[in-house]
Amino acid sequence: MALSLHYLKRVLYSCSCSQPAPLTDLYFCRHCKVARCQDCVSITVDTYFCPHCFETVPVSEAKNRKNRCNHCFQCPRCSSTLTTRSIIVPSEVLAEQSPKKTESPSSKSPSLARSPGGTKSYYLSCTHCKWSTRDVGIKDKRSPIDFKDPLSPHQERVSQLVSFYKEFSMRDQAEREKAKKVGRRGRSYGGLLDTSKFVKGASSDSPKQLRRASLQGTWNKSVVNKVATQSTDCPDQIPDGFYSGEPELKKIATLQQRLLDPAHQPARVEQFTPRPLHLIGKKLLRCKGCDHILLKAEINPSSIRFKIQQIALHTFPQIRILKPPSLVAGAPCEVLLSVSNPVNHVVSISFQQLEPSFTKGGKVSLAPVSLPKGSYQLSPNDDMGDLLDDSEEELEGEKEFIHSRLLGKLVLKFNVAPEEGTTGEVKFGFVLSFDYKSTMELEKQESSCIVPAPVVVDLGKLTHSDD
Amino acid sequence: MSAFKTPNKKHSGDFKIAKGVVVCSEAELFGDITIGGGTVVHPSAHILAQGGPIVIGERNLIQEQVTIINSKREDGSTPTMVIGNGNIFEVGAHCGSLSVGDGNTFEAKSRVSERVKVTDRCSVGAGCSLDSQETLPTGTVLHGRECHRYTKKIPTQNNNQQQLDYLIKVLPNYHRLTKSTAPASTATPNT
Repeated sequence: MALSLHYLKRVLYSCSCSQPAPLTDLYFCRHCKVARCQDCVSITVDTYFCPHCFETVPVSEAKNRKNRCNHCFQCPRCSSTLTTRSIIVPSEVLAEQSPKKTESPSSKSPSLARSPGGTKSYYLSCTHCKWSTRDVGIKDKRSPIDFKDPLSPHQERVSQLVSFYKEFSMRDQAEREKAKKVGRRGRSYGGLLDTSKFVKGASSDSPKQLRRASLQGTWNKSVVNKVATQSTDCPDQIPDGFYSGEPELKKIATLQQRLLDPAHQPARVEQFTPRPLHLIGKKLLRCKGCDHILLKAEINPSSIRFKIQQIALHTFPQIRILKPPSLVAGAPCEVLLSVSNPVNHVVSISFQQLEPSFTKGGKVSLAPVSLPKGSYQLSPNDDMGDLLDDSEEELEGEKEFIHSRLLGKLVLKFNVAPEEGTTGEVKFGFVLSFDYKSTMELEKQESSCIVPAPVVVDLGKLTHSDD
Repeated sequence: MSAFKTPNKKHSGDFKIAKGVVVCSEAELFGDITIGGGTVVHPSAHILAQGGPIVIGERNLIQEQVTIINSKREDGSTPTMVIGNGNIFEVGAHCGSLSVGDGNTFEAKSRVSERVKVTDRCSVGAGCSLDSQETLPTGTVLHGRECHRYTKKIPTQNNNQQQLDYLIKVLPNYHRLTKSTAPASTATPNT
């Protein structure tokens, strides 16, 4: 594996959008029968889950939960996950507390009476930085799920604005439809496509102005004033000694700690509250061409398997440089490439020269290469293969170009002639065509087609000869 | 670590080890060491009184690969290193501090030099290193790669009594123990 990681950037396959990418980054759409790179797939979130308690949350519900878990919390100081600690409060302590509580009508007192040995109470604590909810004066809770994210101080204002703009957009749409109807009768206010607003000296009643005028007419100003931002004459006072006093660095929150809670932005450590843990999404990849699913993980968060996994590594023959070749400018050099078969049936491959358009008008300089002629067959990549008898069936291939043949692998000779005056890396390219046997359940009979895969191999710099 | 090892024997010097203390013989002890009751010293811990005596209090937990060292001084002075009660030294901690109070936690791979004075209920986080001339106030917590520190208003109490009781019961079944070499006098820890 280490070898293939090393060669990741040496052998680049071409995506259907002609973007070069290592084989590991490519997907293969078996409906379009082309390779798809990271840019040629559409990514959506399949499900959300909590990384701590592994609770799965559907996409629709995650938005309501603000993409955070209800039960797990993050440390506001060091952002590691908080653990719930429980302590047993002896009944004597509760008895001491209960007279105080009798003043306020509390429904909890009967539940306390039921447990004679004492009740459990819970608090959150960080095992990493030792922060706990007790540090900031949050009282211990009767149940571990009693901890809640405090409401945002701007909640009211935000919901006010949201409802205002919802109404605004509804009215806006109504006005637009009205304008359309007017346009049908005589004038044309075609909406956004109308270019008259860009013309100098055009009629003053452009649709936008008209709309605004009508809005002002119909909307009571008081409605707008209700949500409009009010300016104040006296801004918030800075506490005395803010600039002159010595800062207590231990008590001031760092910027990172503040931004962990964007709604409250606690400036001091006493204002810290446990942060609900972020949910994590599982990706779902679709082919942009045909909208079929390329990658779909199992919904169970603790599983790392995939339901559908169409990666190019499972279909495309993998090309590796067998050993670093010695490259001399102007002379044909033998380069050994190994081609391995990823599937457990025989795959026949052939090589063609790259089309001139591939080099983007000479921007990418590729060394001329003579490719192995004819077609070759790769033996199946079967784990049990070496246990079978050596009764080898004859596989197709010109012996002249074959260096060696291994199980599911073929080493071929290429002749590359680096041009004189090559300064950078010596690269050469070819089209690897292989027959792809589709094994879809829908198509009952196996259909086979030839998939071309343009490949560019980077051989490194020229070998310096001593003379 | 090998520099601290005594050439032949793992143990050399006077040890005053109180009753009910579990000191595994695989631990390396050197010099004048007094250990108070209920303390557990795991195998491969190093307690090295090279530059003066070491007095360890009660109910301390000293785990594997911990180094507690009173190092040799150039001026020839022999100060006594005093470690209080109920401290935890986690795996790989290094403590050179001459004064450690009660209920402190030295997390794994933490390092405290001899210039630091540790008071009570402090927590030195995993991998944190302290090398400045200072006194850690009660309830100081150090954590993270950059040794962020703060002081806890209500310091947490180490609750390792259960673990200590278990270790005192179990460890002698599988390890040879070191006995007190000093005359039979119950070692009284300096608290």
